[in-house]
Amino acid sequence: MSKRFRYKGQIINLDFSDKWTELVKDYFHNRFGVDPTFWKPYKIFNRGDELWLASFSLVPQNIRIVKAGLRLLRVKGNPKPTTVALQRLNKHINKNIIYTDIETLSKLLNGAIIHVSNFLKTTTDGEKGYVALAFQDLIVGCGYISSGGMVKSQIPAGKARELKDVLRRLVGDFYS
Amino acid sequence: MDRYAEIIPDFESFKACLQTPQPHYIRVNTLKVSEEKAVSKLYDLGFVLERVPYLKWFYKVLGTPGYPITHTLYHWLGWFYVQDVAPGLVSPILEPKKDELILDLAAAPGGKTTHIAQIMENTGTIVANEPVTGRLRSLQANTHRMGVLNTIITQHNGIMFPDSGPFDRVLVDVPCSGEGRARETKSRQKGAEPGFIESISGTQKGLLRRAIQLTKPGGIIVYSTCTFAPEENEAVVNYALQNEPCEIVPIDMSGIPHSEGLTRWQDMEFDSSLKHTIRIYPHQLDSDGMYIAKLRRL
Repeated sequence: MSKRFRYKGQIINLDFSDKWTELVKDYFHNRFGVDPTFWKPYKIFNRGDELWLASFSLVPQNIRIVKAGLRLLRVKGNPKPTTVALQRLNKHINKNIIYTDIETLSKLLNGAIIHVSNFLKTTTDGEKGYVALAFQDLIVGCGYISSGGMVKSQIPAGKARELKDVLRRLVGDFYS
Repeated sequence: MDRYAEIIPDFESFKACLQTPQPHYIRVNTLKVSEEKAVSKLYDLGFVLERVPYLKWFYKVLGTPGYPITHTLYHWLGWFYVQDVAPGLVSPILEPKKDELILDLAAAPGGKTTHIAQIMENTGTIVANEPVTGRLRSLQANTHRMGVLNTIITQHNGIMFPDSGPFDRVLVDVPCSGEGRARETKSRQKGAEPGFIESISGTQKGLLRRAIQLTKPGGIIVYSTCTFAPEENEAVVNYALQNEPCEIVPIDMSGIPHSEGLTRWQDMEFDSSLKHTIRIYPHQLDSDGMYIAKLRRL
């Protein structure tokens, strides 16, 4: 199923075909251990190079869509999960999690690249790819392990700035 | 504000209340976390919360550990939304049901939209419309942060919202003179300029008429403002009653302090059913001020 909308002269396509749902199920199951049945109540659609998650039951006629749903995965090249997707999945993720403390998370948010062995604990074998960064047992965003086992934050700059502010409140200005 | 002395009960308490700090309230977001867990974690950080007895998921913030509750990890993760109790009444009064089609005609920054999504448990469809480009960002950010997945954000002039739906329920929380927020913004304490009230009431009438036209017969429309001005409240709803097929639906406010809507103001006479609309003054709920009308499309 594909629906087309015109917005400021651009056609916005929401492509709900099943292949996107299967891609999402497979990716998040293989990389993060998410049970494929998790996705059952949701719709997955494609917009450009991105897959989006939504639960709305219908799309009314004649409206100009600015945004709908939550950006899940960039699919150009190797799939890349978004920070908000991993936050949303939170407790449904059971592998490739890097557990940070306030110090390592602050360093990552400031752009540091840290070896996987230097974290509190992990549920990853260090295989190259995207990981979920956790703090206080809550998933806070996306990270990436390179082939040498080096971990880098992939949390978008704006979100990273907000999270750094939160961490500063927790420990004073020491890590700013 | 003195022009309201005759309609606001215990006017001296009202004026005294405007000089007191605005308390903070939060709505725990059960789309992301259980109420118990959120409250427990905030207690652990040193926040003192008191449940609001008449409003599900709402808590009054009585004490902080020295920093605002919006500066916590849990706020960043969307576990709660800072929302005053007076606007917090609006979405429950709309009574959205699971799987319905809802329109929020003037949605930014998204407090009421995300509240509706929470009541609907992320089912059905909400069309959240915001005409002002600069305000779309806050609407998008808040729906994202709160984990809202059943919402489609649109950008249309609300008065000319395209023929769509028809919707089961429409919320029209209109732009207004904002007198009800005088505790937060001291400049509002002198009351709104008559010229502004006159011009904004035209927009409000257009928005409410369009909201009614977009609602299916038998469907519900909720009109709300955060102002005391009868010209933006009862006069607008009275105009809609005269020009669109609709009727007032009484709002059940049992146990919640409030005032009835007006049936006359200065030289204006309104439909008698407008007494079933509600006015909330800051000294009644220790909140913002609010006007809410519930209508049924005939």
